[in-house]
Amino acid sequence: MKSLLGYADKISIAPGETIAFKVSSEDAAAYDAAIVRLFNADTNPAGPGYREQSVPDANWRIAGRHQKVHAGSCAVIPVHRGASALASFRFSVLVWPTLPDQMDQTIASLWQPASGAGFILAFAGAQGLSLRLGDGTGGSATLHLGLPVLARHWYRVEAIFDVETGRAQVRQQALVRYPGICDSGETGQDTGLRGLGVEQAALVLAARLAGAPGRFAGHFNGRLEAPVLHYGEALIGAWDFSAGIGTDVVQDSGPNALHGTLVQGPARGVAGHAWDGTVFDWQRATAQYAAIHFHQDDCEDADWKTDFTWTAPTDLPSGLYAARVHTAQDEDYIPFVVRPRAGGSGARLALIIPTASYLAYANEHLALDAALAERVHDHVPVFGPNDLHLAAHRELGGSLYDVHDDGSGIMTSSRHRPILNMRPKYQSWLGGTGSSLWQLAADTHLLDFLDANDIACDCITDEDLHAEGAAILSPYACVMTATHAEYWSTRMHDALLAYRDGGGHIMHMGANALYWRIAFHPTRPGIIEVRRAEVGNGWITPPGEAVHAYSGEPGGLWRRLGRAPQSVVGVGFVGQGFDVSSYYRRLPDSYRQEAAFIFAGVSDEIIGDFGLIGGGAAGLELDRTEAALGTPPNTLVLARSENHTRNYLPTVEDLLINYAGQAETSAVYAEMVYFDCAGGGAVFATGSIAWAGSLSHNGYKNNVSQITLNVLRRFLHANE
Amino acid sequence: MRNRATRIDPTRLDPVREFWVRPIGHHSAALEAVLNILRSGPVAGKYCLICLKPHAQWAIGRISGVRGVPPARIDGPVFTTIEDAERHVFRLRWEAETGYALPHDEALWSEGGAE
Repeated sequence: MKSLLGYADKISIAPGETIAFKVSSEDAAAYDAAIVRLFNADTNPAGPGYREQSVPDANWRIAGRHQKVHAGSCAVIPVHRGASALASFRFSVLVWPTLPDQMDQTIASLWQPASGAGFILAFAGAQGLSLRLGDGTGGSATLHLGLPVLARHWYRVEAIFDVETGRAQVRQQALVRYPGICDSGETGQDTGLRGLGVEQAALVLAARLAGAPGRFAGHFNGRLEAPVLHYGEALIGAWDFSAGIGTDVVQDSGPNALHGTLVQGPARGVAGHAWDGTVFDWQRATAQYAAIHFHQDDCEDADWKTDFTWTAPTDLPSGLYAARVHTAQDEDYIPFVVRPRAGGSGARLALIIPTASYLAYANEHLALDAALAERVHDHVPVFGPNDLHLAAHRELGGSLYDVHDDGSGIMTSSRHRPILNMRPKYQSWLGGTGSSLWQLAADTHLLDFLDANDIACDCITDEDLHAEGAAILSPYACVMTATHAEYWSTRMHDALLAYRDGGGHIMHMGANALYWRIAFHPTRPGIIEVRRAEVGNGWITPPGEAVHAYSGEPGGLWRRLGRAPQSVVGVGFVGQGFDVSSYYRRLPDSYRQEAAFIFAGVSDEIIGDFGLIGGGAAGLELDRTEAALGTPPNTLVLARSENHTRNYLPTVEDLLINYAGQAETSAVYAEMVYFDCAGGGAVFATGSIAWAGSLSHNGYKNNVSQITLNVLRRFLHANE
Repeated sequence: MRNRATRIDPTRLDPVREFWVRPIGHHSAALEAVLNILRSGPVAGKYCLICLKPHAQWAIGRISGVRGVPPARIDGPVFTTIEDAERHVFRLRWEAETGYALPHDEALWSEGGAE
């Protein structure tokens, strides 16, 4: 298990800006910390070797402290601000539980843990709907309704306490009835209690306050809707979750305006009890989307304290950096990008570091949770120390490919937590044989190659692109995308298109890019949301929930949204396999005069039959042209990969019907393309994630690196 | 589903020999059919590899199938290639699936693989 873990408050800083690092050290051991620049994050001894460089005057000895992650979402409503002390009350809410058989599923609570005062309304396993009452001086009572509760069914539940008589009641009413299933009823009890003794506690929905300040316990899994609280006959609050979808605010529509706050990012913009299948966009009928889906394993922000900060020198080159923290037993790297100062550094090339896609895969558990994972890559999954730690610490949260404990898809991902697979030296089960690289570590092969060829390159993150738009790309003669830039917000997409159409040159160095639409959290940087719509991956969006809560935009594949990647970079996702990679064979277009500059110095017919990622330049995920999806008609198809294993299967969105032999007869291969654009720019695309792993072969002298350099040099000097 | 006992013919070793030559990569339809069965068990108890030293050492583990309980290493050798670890998992699964032990490694190698 790991004993050092950390994250930073930012993922991109400009020279002169400060970044704060938050670290947990098991047993509070002191550790060394240093800022390093990452050039090659691949430890494969068959490659050029791992390479990082210390940044001068940026190392410290830090007194460690242990910091925990407290997962689980809830809503906290400061009812005490507008009401007298809790006495007689009536609380009702609509509830759609997903794990009702699990103990301690708190629906709502107004509870002071220290004194045992207040109430907790919960599902308690076989005991069913339960109400616990305490007067804060040792008096307590608990009612159990004992009726079954069906998962993923709506109920109205109610808790009532009368301080005059001491009588308490709980009520559960199923909104859908089944003959022979008795899941509606009520029970009452004379508790003997003459008060509940709560003065300062907040109303907490989907959890209860635990001992320590700001800590919660007994998290609920499922949806809540329309909670209403009365003290006696006085309405204290009526919370309308259909208001403020996309925000962290829970709005009170009652007279006291007791607005609450969501903790750890539960899902909004989800169907409530009234969703009737006539609307599919929460913006058109918010009343049908008046539910919030809470999960005991939601993790939006680890909320750790800062352990050290660093201000990047104003003359620091743009690049990929990390804070390295280490003890004798363990180490961790907290990666971040130093972007260029505003207006660019003078470099003519920018690499877009696909941080949104890193977030999409952050802390993924597919090989651990999904029986099919081994079939998908046709070898036995390999787990390293980071994977084992993730497996033991689900509180670190999952990726956009994982499901919550209750089986619902994880729709948001945040970088405000340690991300154990966004690390140099990390090997991924998705990365094929050899180096087994996926995303960040694979992308460093691009940085390594550029450095080996003395080509200056600025690094820009997806977050920068989203925040600043095309302006951030305008200083560059050429913009490079990374190995797997899969997740794009609309603003990122717009920016890349505007750059291309304004005369920019794009080197698309990976595959399966520009694939899923995402939305960034409207106010908090570093959190993304995906609605997978009708094409699933790991999970599929429930009916009626394909519109992002964060943006109000329909989600899904950009292809389904009318912007297929083929229309942007000429090629788009066609299929994948995760065992071994293959090679390209040149096509007639590669011998045309227009393509001569690309193949200058390359006499080979076969391109990339070598490499650290699966042993070839064409592998993992593959893109090809498709005129019907917008590949420009002037596109030169330079080379096509071949001889892929039977594990390379077509992507699901292309499967309109099943038939025998489908895998053998589907056209799953990569195409390398080039096309000129009307704005004066051009696009080169490799069509393969594995390409970067072949650049360093034979001391960086090979046909993959030659083609890459040929295109790069032409693009860098195109507008001179 | 067909009778479990007959899903793999334990007397047909040519796919096994092919696997011994190339555990990862191009596989014939016959080997693929075997692997589809051997690789398709439920998550709980499924074999996995635990990397002890990057690019150098691997051990066999089993996935718990319980969220929060990490894969645990089982007794057995430490392998210095992923391919050897793959062959060992294949052997364990074959024997569990068919009820028949595979010939020792040397025998599987010496008779060559189906290329």
